[in-house]
Amino acid sequence: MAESVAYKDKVWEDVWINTTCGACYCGCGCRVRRINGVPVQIEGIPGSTMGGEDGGLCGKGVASIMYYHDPNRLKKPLRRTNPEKGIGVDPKWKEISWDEALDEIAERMKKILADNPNKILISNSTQRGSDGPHQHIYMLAALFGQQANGCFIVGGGSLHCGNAAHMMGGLIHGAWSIAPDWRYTKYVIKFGSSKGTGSGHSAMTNARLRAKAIERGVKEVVFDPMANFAGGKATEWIPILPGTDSAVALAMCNYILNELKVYDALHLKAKTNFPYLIGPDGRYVRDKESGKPLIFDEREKKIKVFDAPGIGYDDYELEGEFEVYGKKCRPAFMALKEHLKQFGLEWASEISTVPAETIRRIATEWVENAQIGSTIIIEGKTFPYRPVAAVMFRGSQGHTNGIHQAATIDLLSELVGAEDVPGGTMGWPAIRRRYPGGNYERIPKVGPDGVIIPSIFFAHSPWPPHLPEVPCKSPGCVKFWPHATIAHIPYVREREEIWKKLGMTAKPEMTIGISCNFIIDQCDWESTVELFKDQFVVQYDIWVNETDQAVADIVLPDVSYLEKDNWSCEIDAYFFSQSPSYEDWYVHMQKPVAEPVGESRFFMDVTLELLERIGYRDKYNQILNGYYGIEDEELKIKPGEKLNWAEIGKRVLKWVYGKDAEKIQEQGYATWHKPIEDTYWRWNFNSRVPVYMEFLINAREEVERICKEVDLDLDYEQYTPLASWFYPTVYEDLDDEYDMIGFSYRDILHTNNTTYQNPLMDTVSQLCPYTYTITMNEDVARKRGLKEGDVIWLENRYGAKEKGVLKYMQGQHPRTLGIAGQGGLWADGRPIAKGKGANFCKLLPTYLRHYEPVTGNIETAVALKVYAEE
Amino acid sequence: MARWGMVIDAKKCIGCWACTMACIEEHFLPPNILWNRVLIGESGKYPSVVKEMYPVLCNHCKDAVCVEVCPTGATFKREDGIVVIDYDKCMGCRYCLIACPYQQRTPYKDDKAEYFPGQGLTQFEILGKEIYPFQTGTVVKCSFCVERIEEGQKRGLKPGVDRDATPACVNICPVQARIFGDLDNPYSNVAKLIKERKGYQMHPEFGTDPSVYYLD
Repeated sequence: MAESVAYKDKVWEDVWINTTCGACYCGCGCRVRRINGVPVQIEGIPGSTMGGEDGGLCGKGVASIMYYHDPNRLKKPLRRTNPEKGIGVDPKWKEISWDEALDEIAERMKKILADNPNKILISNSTQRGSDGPHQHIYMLAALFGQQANGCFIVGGGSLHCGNAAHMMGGLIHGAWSIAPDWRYTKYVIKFGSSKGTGSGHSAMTNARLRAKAIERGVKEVVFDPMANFAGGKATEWIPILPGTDSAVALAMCNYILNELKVYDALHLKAKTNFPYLIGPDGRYVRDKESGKPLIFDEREKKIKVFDAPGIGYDDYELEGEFEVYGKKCRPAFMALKEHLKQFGLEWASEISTVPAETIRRIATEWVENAQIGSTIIIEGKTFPYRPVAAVMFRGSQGHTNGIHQAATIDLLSELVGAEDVPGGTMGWPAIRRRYPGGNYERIPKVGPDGVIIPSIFFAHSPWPPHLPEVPCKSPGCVKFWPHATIAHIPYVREREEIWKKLGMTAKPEMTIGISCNFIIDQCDWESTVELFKDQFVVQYDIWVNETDQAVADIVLPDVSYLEKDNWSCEIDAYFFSQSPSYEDWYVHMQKPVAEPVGESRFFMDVTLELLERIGYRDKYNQILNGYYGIEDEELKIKPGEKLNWAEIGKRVLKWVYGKDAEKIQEQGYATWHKPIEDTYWRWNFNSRVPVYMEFLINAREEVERICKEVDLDLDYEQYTPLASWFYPTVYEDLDDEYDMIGFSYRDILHTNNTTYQNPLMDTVSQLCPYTYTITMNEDVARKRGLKEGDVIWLENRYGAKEKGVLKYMQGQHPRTLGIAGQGGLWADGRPIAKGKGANFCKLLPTYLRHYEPVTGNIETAVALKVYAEE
Repeated sequence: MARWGMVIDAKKCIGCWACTMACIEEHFLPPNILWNRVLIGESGKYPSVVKEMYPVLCNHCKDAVCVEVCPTGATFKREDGIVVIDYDKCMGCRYCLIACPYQQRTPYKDDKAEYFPGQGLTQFEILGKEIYPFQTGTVVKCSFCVERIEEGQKRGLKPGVDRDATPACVNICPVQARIFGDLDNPYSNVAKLIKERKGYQMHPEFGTDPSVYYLD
């Protein structure tokens, strides 16, 4: 910026303040320039690797300065005065004081909590990173005594979340997510995922690492319905029908195992449960005394418990027939080999439209590049070297066969041993090391059957396995769907009936949302409005969004991240921001760079005050001590202490960072060396992954029993130990009339729907051909007489419809329609966003059969008819 | 004397528009004026399709047409190759706007435009008008962050190497798709990249010899 005469004359302050970006949930390190008290510029932090390359930051992050400047920011609490709720109904807002607002909320909460705490839904979101500290809602759930960690996140992560991906991440890697080990990989397959090209967790960290990998010549193969962010930048884009990735992956696995007969036997023996002996019923044959699964020791020709001392990894038998306790049994690996035989190349081709020859070629390239048997020495330590990675995320696993999509894609990496070793598919972040001289550390443990228990996990940890149970006490019914990371049932159209059948009597009476937009970012709007309209809905946000306008009773003005002292954001959300590759450890925090706008207050401080008012403050203090594991008596938050969030931070940070706490807080971040064994921790961690999902056999038995007992129609066939093929429900809904498959994808310019209100992002979105339009294969559109620029309608078979402007694409599967992000907005409180783009989520039908029966993922592809506006 | 130039690696660009955003904030650009843009489209026929993303900005051409046509000398070329505009001399005739084959010039005509239309100027805009004023009726364009380069060099910093002497769009790129340096120095980062990876200028047939090169 010019140090012009004007600048020298008028500038009395010009400083950069380090903080953490809040434009999405990735939380890249960023610094904000403040001139004369006004935040004016944002960039990355040179010297920190949390995010883009050396001070780099993505466009959304840079533009997020407008969160502070938006004149539509809420400045005072608002109270709905119109008792009627719904889309298109004027809430007749009235400004009220904080005291009035909190009095009313506290009174309602006290009453409900005394009756049944499960009647309160608490949710945050991935909208604008305003949901940090992320674990806060679970702490509240625990505080109030809600069942099974509460009704938490009523889909707070919205359509963009990945129940199946997270479950597999936890089971396989002890982690939340997966990404390629960019630093060492040579060959990456992406299934419906944009990791490294702008989306997903640690988005800019991954983008930076991918760019370096591109320099080194990494090959990227992308299976995707469209050639846009991931596919368009790939070395090879392979168009595929939505939700059919598992057919391709199963055929690849079959080809690799049964035709090429190549696999990393040592990896399968050492790191998976494939050597475990299973009986004719598919269950493990367990040692009668210890209950541990048995294996066959090839060298000693003996049956042993899987973790018997002295067995070398090579000694685990993967094949053969045995007899134990008079029962025939064989290693689970045998079952896999046999099971895969049904998935031929032609079969997969017919389902997915990917040519059989292409599947064969990619499978061959995969195996060739895997370099099975090779090793690499890094920092003097030897590891297996498997420079191939197969990753997926929202796109491929967001279907009613999600768990099988995720599991089959994982199987590709398992077969060649490319799991958490240099070059392979990395789970991250699974561990959090203590800062030198500090205290907070999270390391996974080994649980039953030798399987990893993740060190920390939002909601349900996938291990140890839980059996479905009734009655359910919370509206999410997570006791019955114990594999669901995020509760889906409140959104399901038949919710009342399901609650009744599962014995759930805590019909929600109140929702507390933190910057959530339930109506816009989930599914069918009508069903969602029904869920909330009779509840008392309180929302913390920086503006009035669509959900607030339709159903909120009180909206409390929150601060944006630019005004927030959120010292805990990275401690709690390291899930979203750490590096999947071999890079230094880093920690970051959010520091306020400006005064709060109007009377807005950080929701954590408001929550503390609310807890005080309802008499839960002392208990919460205790929970905080427990959560951060504070052992130092002086630092513990004591009963009766009424500290605000910043003051609590002073204590906690001292515990977490020791003597450097003040220095780190001043700087806003810290980095330190990550030893190589922290990156590839799993290789030396004596654990196994349950690729053979034996635990689902027991779960199925229970699910089937309960379903029959209560007359619930659920596709429990999907509870199978071996990943298999199931058609997503979208294909059942297709016919001659509803003949196109609609899907949505993440646009790099947008985080859910919040960025639509940013005038800078809006300006450039209008220059992007695909961001605000509905895309369709050009040849197909022409044949149907649909012209580029036409306003077209998309309609599902249940009557929901949406319109938008048609954009032709060559890079789009002929049978599909694509809509980016979450447009089609209408809140008066967000005039920039109003009317921009199209909304895909409203087109998603929300009957129970549109949800994956095991993990609760909603089917994110939908059968649509398309026609031009008359 | 150096001839400053930029290399943009289209293979790395992920289309996030950070360059555009950083440029807006660096120069307090008013609404609807962008000195950096990304041209987005696709090439090929289904299923052999590639998405094309090309960040574009003023090319600071060696034989700049805009300089030739400017009747007042407001647009001129510095010794270091940067094409700049002296707003005091610009009379807004827009010859340059018509002449620039790359369409990189914008008239600044509406000083009432607001980022939040009808809702008043934000503090960002008010401060911008004070410390980075534009003149209504003039033509504006990318300056290669000439102020950063000048200030940086005064402090002994090197453009393209040291952050404080390098254009904002180069610093902000999260995937380091932009590289800045001296085109006339065969050992510079930019010259080496152009040679090694066959860097090319956009539309060389225009004959203006741009200082911005692309890599595929």
